Amino acid sequence: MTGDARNAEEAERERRLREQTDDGEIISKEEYTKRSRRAFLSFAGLGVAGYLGFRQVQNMEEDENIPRILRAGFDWNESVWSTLERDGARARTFSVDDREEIRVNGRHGLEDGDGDFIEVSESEAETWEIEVTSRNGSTLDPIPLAAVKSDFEVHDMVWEHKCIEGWSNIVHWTGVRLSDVLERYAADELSAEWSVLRTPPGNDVRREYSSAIENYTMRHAQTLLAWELNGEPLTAGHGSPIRLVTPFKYGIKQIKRVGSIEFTDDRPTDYWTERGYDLHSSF
Amino acid sequence: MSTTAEPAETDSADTTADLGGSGHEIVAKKKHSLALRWMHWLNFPLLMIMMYSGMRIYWADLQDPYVFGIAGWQIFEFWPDGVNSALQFERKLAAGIAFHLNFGWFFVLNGVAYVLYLARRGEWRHIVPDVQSLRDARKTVAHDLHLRKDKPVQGKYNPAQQITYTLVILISAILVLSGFAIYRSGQLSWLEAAFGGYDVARFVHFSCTILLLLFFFVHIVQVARAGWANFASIITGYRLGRRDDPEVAPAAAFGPDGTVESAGSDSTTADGVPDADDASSDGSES
Repeated sequence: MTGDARNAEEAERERRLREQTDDGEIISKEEYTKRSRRAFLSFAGLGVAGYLGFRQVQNMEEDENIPRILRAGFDWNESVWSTLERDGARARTFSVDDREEIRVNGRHGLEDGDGDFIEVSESEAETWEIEVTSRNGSTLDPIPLAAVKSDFEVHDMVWEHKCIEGWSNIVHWTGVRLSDVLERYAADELSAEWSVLRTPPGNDVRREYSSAIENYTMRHAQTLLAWELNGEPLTAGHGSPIRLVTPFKYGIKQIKRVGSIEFTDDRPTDYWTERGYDLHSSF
Repeated sequence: MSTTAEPAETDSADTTADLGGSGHEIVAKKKHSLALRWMHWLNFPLLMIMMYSGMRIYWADLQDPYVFGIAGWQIFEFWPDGVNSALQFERKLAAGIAFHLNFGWFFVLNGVAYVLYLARRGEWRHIVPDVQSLRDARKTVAHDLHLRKDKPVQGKYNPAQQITYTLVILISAILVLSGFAIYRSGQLSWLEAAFGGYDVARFVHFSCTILLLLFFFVHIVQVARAGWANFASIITGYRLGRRDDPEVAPAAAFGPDGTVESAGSDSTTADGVPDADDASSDGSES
């Protein structure tokens, strides 16, 4: 009995499979020769066109060190992601116990001509000021580091710091929200499309560094001006005396040793953008 | 160029092909639609671009490469030095990112189009295995390894193909999702968390790539084994062969009482044993 049922089931399955595959049109060999010639030719043609198109992209005129169309693609990508919730989005945070050691990677803006770190002494740190330039080019009152540390709510945040080269570490930052500071020192500039942060200039600085940050990152609750890493004051290699940190961007955007902030509504550039990277480099 | 595909037994079928003719007549049967063929082929250049640019991204951090090992024994590092020098590989992270994040969308679009196509046309039934296919898969493998003469009953694809192709679709989906988890770990922090973290998402992304690469090599071998008529079908859309060739009309391969009803064919594989010796019907895994 069961055997019969089983055979019936198998037969039914075979019938179904046959039905599924029997709908294909059958043509004569002559017709096939005609159609296959056409298929192979159009296939080869489109293949060659695709290859030439790709070469065209590779060899296209460059915009800030990458082919123009890819630069446009970066900006298009940003417009796609900007339709998604960002201000309210939060990167994952961790417990202080999860924090890890982190290597010193970027040295730009921190080195002298010999490639040695330029140390910032305690007394220099005490009088450290961040210069501020408004959208119309006027110089605003500078932001004293002492006031940054004393006048605002201090946040301890633990998140994963991600390098564009591929490594990441969970680190603990201590600092204040950039938006809190700007509200006091540059309230009229909070609506600026962009802010460009730079390391302090100086004849002895080997490569001055800069990082452009869009409005939403500038105002985001997880964007801090930080002076401690894993509970210790920043070392020169990590950007003493004050640096920008945010889990919404790769490390290249989290500028070490902030010397100035300039606001603008025009699309700016910065150190790595000029070298072919995405201006946004956001998560 | 397509005529080299003729099965060993060139038939006496006269030029005015009688479509209701004998089982020995050479005909071509529609196998893959134009859309399917293009969606299939687009993956090749797209994945080449994605893997090449992905390597440039992966290679930016030389300090902790992924290592392949078994039980603590390191077998090799990704990638072995030979791969690097053989590819004349130029480390260039910025260009890698630019190509990866722009061309990735085309892979996503192609994949979405493919899945929608399968769903709309009901062609997922050709690919997703049923319970019997899962049971039969080992018979297909045994057949391909020449350990077994007969092949299990199949539709458009054999059971091993069904499982493989289904896995490839799933792996591609995971590949894309882990990519987004890495790319947008801020806005899509829930996705990053779903993968168990950024590191895990990166590892999954890398592993899925390796799996697709392995599939690619197996695919090439199986296509080569299956022969020209099979390969040509993914370009022309038609499978050329004898009317009673099971690869042309799989129904012909069916069991003892599988009276073939396909398109007026009068073919009889009388004893029900699929004629596995027919040159053009062997190894269909493509």
